[in-house]
Amino acid sequence: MPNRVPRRVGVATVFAVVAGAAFLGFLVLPMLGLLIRIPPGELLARLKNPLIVQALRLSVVTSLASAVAVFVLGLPLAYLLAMRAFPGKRLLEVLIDLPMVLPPTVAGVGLLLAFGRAGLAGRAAAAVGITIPFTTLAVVLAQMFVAGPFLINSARAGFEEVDPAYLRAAATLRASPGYAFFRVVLPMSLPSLIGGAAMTWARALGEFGATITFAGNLPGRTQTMPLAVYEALQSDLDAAIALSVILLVVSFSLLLALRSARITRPRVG
Amino acid sequence: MLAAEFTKQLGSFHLEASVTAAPGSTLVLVGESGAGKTTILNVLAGLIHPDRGTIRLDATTYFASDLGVTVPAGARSIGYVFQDYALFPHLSVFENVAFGLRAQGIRGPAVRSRVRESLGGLGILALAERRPAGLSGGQQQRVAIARALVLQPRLLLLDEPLSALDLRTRTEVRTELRRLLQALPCVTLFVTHSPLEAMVFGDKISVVEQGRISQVGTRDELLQEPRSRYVAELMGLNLFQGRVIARDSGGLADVETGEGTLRIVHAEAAAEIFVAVDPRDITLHLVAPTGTAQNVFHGPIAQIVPEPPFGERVRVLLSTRPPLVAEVTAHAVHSLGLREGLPVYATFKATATRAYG
Repeated sequence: MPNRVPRRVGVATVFAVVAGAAFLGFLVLPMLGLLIRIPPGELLARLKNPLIVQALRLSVVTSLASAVAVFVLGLPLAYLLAMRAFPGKRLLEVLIDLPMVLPPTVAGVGLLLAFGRAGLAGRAAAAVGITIPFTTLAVVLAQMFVAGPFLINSARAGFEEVDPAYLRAAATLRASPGYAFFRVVLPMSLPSLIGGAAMTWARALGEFGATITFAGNLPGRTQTMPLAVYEALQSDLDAAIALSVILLVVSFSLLLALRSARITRPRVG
Repeated sequence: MLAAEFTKQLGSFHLEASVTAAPGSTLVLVGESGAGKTTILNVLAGLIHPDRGTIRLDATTYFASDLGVTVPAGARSIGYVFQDYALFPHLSVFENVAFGLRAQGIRGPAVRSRVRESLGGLGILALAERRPAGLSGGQQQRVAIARALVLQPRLLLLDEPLSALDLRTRTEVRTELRRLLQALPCVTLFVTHSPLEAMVFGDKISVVEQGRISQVGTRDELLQEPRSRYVAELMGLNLFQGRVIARDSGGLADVETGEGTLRIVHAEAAAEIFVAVDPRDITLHLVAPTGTAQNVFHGPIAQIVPEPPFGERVRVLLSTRPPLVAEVTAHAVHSLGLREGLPVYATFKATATRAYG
């Protein structure tokens, strides 16, 4: 008789199943709580509330603006990190990752000190008549600060996956580095770039701490959706829930779309 | 005319190469992997720059360390067909071939006509709208060549262009590629590790060994007078390097190789000489022969290697002093009962040796 491993359910298996189920429930319950509180019909009606509409519009505009700005300004940095070795690279990588782990309120204080009236860059901006803190521009800057690393890390991973053989081929075909970037590197790393941009946008959409510290909570000017949720909690719980459901649905749809499109998941950290 | 001479240090690898080739001819760089063949191509293409030396193509200087001249890859009249072809996977065949034209700012109908001409010249016009991933190895190779030739380079570099193909198609593609290269007006450099390809493609053959060019010559010159053990192995010859230690009045001389002594027909005056022996001139015996052969060696069979393609010829490696390779028929191996470890006598006539300084 060959030895058979007895089909015994071990303690470890039981623990794994229970722990897994418990944690899953812990994750799902709050989302479920949001969804079952208000019937969908009423939710749509809530959307006509001017406070919600205002916050929604501001969130969409600022998060798209910051995602685009990070995309344009972040790609060169991502490309540099992917293609070149240079002294101090490790330090630069840490600096770029820092906003992801820094408490957003700390980021907000830092932004205030840098771009505030008395700040280094703030004084220069004030000299040409631009005030940054507590404006819509401040909202965008706060979002760029916390969401930037998502794009840079994802784009860098995408660039690193492009086989250098294609760049050598492009060079022997008389392509300038710029031409090779736009015609070879960019299209070949497009999935990572789209994934990174989407994650950046989602992070910008959810930004709260840095925004409220650096840009304040002014309806119509700096009050984005997460801030509106926070304020509504004090006065109108149903409005807070409606706003939260919208944010939940948007985030869920975005992640699901990224997964289904089999787009490379952005590398974090 | 390509004339290049340069050195390059890459970590612990030292490359020292001198390459000359005439327009309309093909120079083959043959050697083992890691010998520095691809590095030579990359230096000529401008993908890496030598430490010192010169690279000239016709009247243009691409690199001259003493003048401080370094022309970047994109400004050289060079076409490069990479080992794995490096076709852009996200572009159609047409756009792959058009890439170099568009990169130079050429637009409109000129692109279309030149790409079509290049594709047509290689008989792959019908593939224009396909993606590289859907093509066979042979088709991909042609696209890579079309992409390089559309820029009408004065120097064409081919890195192991047949190695990505399976064995069945290789023979067919080899014949066509040879016809194509022979018709080209440019200088062609062809890198391979295969002695057969070297002989098929090379108007001249440069043998690359450990970062150096150990010998340059036509196929016949290399066959007649190999100057390193590696070249001799490539050509399938026994090669010995030694010193004449005695000459007799009958026209024979003894050559000490360090691993045994050979009797050869009187060489030229040189004391330090090479001696080549064709393996087909070596006879194997089970018992000590009594005959006219001046060279008789005794030792066990080290290895028996059937020669491709059908194995009717067999190479027998002998642990004699000096070590020898004999080529016999499969029939002889069977009838004598040759096997590895069996002691045999190997003989060849002094007149079967070829000595040169």
